[in-house]
Amino acid sequence: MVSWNIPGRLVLRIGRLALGFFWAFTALAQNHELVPPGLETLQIKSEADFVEEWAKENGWEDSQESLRSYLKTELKVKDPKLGTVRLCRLANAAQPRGGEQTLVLLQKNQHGLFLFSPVARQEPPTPDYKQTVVPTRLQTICPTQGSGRFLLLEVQEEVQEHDQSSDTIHTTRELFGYAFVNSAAPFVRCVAYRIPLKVTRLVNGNIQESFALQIRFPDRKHFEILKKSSRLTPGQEQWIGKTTIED
Amino acid sequence: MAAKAIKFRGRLSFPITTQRAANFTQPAESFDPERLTLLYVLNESGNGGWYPIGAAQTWHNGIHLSVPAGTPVRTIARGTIIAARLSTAVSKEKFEFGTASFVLIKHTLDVLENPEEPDHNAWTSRAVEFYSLYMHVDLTPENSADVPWFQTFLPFLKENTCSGDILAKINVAEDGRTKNEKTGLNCRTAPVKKGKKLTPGTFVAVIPRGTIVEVSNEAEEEWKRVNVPSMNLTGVWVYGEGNRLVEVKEFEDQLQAFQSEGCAKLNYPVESGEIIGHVGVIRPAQLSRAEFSDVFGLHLELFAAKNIIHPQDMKAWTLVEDDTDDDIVCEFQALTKKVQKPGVMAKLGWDTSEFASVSEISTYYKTMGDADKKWLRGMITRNTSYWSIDWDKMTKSNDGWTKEFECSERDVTIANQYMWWEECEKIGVDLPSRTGGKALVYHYHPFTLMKYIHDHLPPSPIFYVKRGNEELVVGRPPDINIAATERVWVYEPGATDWLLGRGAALQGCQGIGNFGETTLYEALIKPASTPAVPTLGSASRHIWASIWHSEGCLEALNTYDSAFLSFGPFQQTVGAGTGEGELQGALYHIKNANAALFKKLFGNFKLDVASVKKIQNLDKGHFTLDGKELKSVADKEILRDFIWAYRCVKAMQNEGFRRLFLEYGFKRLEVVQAISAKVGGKEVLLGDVYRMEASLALLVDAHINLPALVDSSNGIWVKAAKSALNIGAADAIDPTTITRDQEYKMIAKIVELRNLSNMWDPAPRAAFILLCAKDLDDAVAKKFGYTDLDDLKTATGLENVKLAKEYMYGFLEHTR
Repeated sequence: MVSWNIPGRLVLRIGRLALGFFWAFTALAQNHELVPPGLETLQIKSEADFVEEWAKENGWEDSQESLRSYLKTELKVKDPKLGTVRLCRLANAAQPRGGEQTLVLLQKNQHGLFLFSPVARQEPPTPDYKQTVVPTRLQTICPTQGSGRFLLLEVQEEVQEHDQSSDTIHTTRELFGYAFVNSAAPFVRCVAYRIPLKVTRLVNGNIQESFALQIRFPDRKHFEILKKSSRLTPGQEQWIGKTTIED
Repeated sequence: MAAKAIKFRGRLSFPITTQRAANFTQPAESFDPERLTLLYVLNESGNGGWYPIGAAQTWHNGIHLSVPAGTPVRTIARGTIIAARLSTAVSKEKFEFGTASFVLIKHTLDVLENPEEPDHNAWTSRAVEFYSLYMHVDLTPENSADVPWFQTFLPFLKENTCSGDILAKINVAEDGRTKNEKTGLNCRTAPVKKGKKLTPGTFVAVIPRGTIVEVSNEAEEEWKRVNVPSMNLTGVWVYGEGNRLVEVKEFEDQLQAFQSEGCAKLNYPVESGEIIGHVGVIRPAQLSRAEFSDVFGLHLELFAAKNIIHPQDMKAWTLVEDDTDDDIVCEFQALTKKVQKPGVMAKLGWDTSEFASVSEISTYYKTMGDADKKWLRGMITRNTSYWSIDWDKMTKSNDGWTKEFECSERDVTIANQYMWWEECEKIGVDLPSRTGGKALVYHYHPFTLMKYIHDHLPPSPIFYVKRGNEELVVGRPPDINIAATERVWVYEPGATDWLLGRGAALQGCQGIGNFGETTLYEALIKPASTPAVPTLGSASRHIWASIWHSEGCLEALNTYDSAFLSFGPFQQTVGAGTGEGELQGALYHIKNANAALFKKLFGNFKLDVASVKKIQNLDKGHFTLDGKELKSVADKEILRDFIWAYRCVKAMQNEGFRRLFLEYGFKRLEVVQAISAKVGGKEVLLGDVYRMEASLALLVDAHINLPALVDSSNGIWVKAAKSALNIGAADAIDPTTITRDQEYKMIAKIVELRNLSNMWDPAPRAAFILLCAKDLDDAVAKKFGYTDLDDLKTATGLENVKLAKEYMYGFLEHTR
């Protein structure tokens, strides 16, 4: 059988440190989870080992030539405090239906190589729908006041659905934000996962409606999510408010 | 909803085979209540070893099962071997009552208080702790090659290997490598002194890390002389500096215990059904007085420190707990009159006023009525463990019994050799604590207790996720961590755990997905080893195999999108929203073709299909569950429960189902070939216009993704034909005049029109199909409308175009 998760043997778990942060954040959640359970930052030995393990776990061809083709950097940012952070796509287009594709965040600094996964996944299409996941922006943000550093990642997910009877295509396009903060740990930690920054609905490519949020980082201890459009989806409403980030 | 922490791996196995024509390679048999009668009878019709009172009218807290010599003895449940003893061969002089070797296992299982409850979230469980004793087990080294727990000891138990040296484990991988890449320590011939310098001897072998060796006191500086019994190496030298060799005191103690026929304290985890030895000689004392001949069998005994039957379930059991003295005699007068059936007990227990002979007791067990059988089998006796008895004391304090059974001093000496409780206590084995100095424990008929546990185990299949070191039971998507793509595994007693799928979310829906592993190419062309794939004509086989990249794998599964549930290579779904689904149409076809099979795979679980009708030439319908039609979105949600994904996977594993299911899916080619259109006033069939496998593959692929693209009055097949044949709007198509080159042009046009359509990823799909073409080169690629072969490879979208050559399978015909 094929599996999808992060290979277990390869990773060096950050363990309690990361878990402690994780629980601190879920405890803050009001009526939704800021970061869902089970998402951990892991230290990995090397990219090559990681990709090889991934390929083996997923039953992908594991010749050296193939292995070199699976991990592709899509966005990159360099920062003196964070090191090099890359948003990468793990994909094997030779899999049936294009296979599943996974976006992962890799951070390299003097402490080592760290992996946050999955950021997002692109599921293979069926006759009814097609999903496309494209990272659009990766930027470091200094808070309005004081020191500290945030990392904001934006990923656009689009699902197109065939209406076979009327030959129309209904599209839902969502721009998700992922906020990470520079922490005492040697890696950035996720403090908000999949904030629905923008939701757009289209029919045959024509925009029908659009709803938007904006995110602010007033200081290193807080982030704030505000209304950007007059109307919001119920999913967006849940994110409105100011969140305190605990150490 | 949440994942639930329950120890669900409680499956039970029979300790011996129940197959009459058994051979020694018989696999472990899962506990099956249907086969219990046979085993009860095997015991009760035997010549002794009955439960709960034996031929000598003592408590007999286990049962004897007579089976041929060499029959493997298996654990009844997973647990830990906590003690064992090896005895020498049985003889008239020593161990006259049978093999004195035993294995003792401690079990801790979770049982449900409400096993009928279907929702795992509502399960309430409790842990039960009990012991299983396997007495008279043959553990002689020459007969134990298939006993896993014993393998570490075997090399040290062969004759002439007891050197008395210190035992140590190779702890490093300091030098050398074995062929199988296990690192270890080189061993050599003796080091040679050259002047003041010590030179290593000649290389002999690598001793893998973890190997236990005997270290002699011969040494030269840091070089030590060792024996390696597991590798049949004697007197080799290793460089033993630092922690390269680590003493294994516990192992040494265990080995010494085995070598001296004493009890060893152990800590070996074992799985249910694992072989722990073979049946040895068993001979109840009374029978041993007769002619000395070997009888083979097993004494199986289950006991617990506390009564593990739930108080609410006790009505089916009889608890006898008044005999708490420190002998083993089941005295009728003192005790047995108190029980519900004094008549039965009078026949079995020891009664000074009315002695019963061995043959009378034997006759009673063999002829007792069903009610008595049930009563005795359901008896729980709390008495001093047989294995803790001091037979000197026992005979002295029970003069009448000793005289009646002619228990001699020799008998007492022999009997004491079989006891183990006190010795095990002394070496720290985790046994129930004594009460008032007595080893009072609760005893059960092994098979009756196994049935009770079996009936209270979480019902299989069990779905679980792994979090840290825990295995948590789950039942539906909200129980799992979807964002972390947590994997759902299936536990079924007697089978290897397997992956059902991993968490995924799409369109606001949550579920699991599994990509599967057998593509249509692999199923139909190479290696084509999957059983029960329907036999197709050459063209059909080629066409379907070429669509391998567009379609799913045979085992594909998806419960995470708006269509609730889909499985199989053709991705038939339950249907989004309130709509009918193709999956129900496919199952309707199977139900009509083989009603019994459908019933076995789905009907028995109350799932059925209804309201099936033709929609766009395809059969679609709804499911019913327990008679209720699942039409609404809310009702269909239940189909995301893992049990239905499991049922689908299990169905696909059934060869009859797979054949019918694939046959139905493959019919789509006929549907496409039968599509007709009026061109120039004349009806023309798609299958007549397009004869090349390559073009039909492209059209079937388009039809699966977007039926209207092909199946309309102005479908792409008509447009492509008109364009390639260069005919006007009013002209008809004459299929008989179409040439091979013209069909190539049609292919090129179809590829172009697909790329302009709303199909998903039309370019890579077409490229992977056409890569399957026979004799593919630049010229053929050009005929398909590509600049050259590289252009076709580039259209696959592969990150490294060079890899496209791996998918040039070369079987798809392009002749008319």
